[in-house]
Amino acid sequence: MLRYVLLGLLDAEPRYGYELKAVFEQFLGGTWPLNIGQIYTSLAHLEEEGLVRSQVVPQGSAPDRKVYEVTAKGRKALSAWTSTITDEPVRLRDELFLKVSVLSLKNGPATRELIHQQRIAILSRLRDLAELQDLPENHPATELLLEAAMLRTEADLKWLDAVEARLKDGGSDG
Amino acid sequence: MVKNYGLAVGPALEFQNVHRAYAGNGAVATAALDGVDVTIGRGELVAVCGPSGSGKSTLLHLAGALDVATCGEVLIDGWAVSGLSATERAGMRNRSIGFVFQSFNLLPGLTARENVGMPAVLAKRKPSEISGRVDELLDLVGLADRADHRPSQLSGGEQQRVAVARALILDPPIVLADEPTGNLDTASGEAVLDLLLACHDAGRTVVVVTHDARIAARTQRVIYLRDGRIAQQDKPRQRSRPLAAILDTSTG
Ligand SMILES: Nc1ncnc2c1ncn2[C@@H]1O[C@H](COP(=O)(O)OP(=O)(O)OP(=O)(O)O)[C@@H](O)[C@H]1O
Ligand SMILES: [Mg+2]
Repeated sequence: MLRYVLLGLLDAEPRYGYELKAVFEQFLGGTWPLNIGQIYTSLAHLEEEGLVRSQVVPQGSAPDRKVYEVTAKGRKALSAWTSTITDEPVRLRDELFLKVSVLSLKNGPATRELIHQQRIAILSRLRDLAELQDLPENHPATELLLEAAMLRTEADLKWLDAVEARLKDGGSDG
Repeated sequence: MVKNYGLAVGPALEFQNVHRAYAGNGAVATAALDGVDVTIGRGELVAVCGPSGSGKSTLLHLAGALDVATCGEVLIDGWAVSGLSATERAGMRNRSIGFVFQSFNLLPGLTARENVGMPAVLAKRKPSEISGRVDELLDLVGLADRADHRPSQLSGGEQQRVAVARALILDPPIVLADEPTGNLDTASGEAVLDLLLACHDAGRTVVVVTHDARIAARTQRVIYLRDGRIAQQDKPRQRSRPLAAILDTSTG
């Protein structure tokens, strides 16, 4: 998937490697850590496949820079990717779902305690996200990510409410 | 404009083992609140959350001296509510409390301007004293151009903003709001929330009942009620985390 994000960024503006890394980080608010080596490896693959081409730009006294731009073939690949409808299975792989599910087998006080503590922890994440949303320098794409993260965090809280209500209905510990 | 609402000593609100029971069918009484201990400091911004029927409105009504505990004690501004007569309680509400109701509670026959001024009229203030303040508040809530509309001519969000303005007319040190954004869309809800945050910034104590986690996340402390009891409270956070620590967008 990384390759398409890089293609998209280069399609918006040709860049040299370090610049692309900086733009990538700003674009996703640093939520996808990459080192410069990974960027150059991806660029090399893209160039081999003819999706980008590079041009050496002399920098006077500084070392020359290789500037990458998207080819017509690259633009076609990008648009094929972006126009494919995403319909992935819902991913509930995180630990919380499994922990609560395991505890629900017994429905004792430990379940309720976990739900209570977890609710506080998730609310704290929501507080962090709300603060980050208030920052003035967010990239527009980061704003979209923040919105998604907040909605999902709210969903986690609602899920805990739902689990608690179910346990209460069928609870054995009063 | 930060006003000093903190001259009096002690917390703004204090609940000491508060119970509120309603006579039920036959001998069974409903315990709407079942032993609540909580202290809310002056200038605090607190959210009260919990499932439907957990006692949130009951707690807020007691905090606003709209209701009296069956046993235990509620202190508002250091005054024990159980020791006050009905008239004294009304005086206490006028002095200390601005209340925003879950269902707006505007008078349908009155205009927005008249609704906002109503608590001042009831408190026997002279109309000349308050008319400037009414206009100021209508302006603050962004309804200067709707001042002569009746509630039926206003949207839900506008009615709720009128209700917030009305709660502020006597400049209370404590603002209590029951689901103030419950029936509103996101944008109107944000506008009402901003008003409450501004109340807090101005130095007031603000308690807001909400089921909206986003609103809770904007307060300093959240009190969770469950079956009439405080199930949990979150502690103030040490520090906030950077985005990269709470969000991961990398794919394999
Ligand atoms: N006037 C009343 N007479 C009898 N029972 C009442 C009265 N007011 C509230 N109750 C009961 O007390 C309990 C708590 O009610 P309360 O209104 O405080 O809940 P709430 O948390 O505000 O719920 P919601 O989220 O639905 O507004 C409920 O079981 C309710 O039925
Ligand atoms: Mg209620």
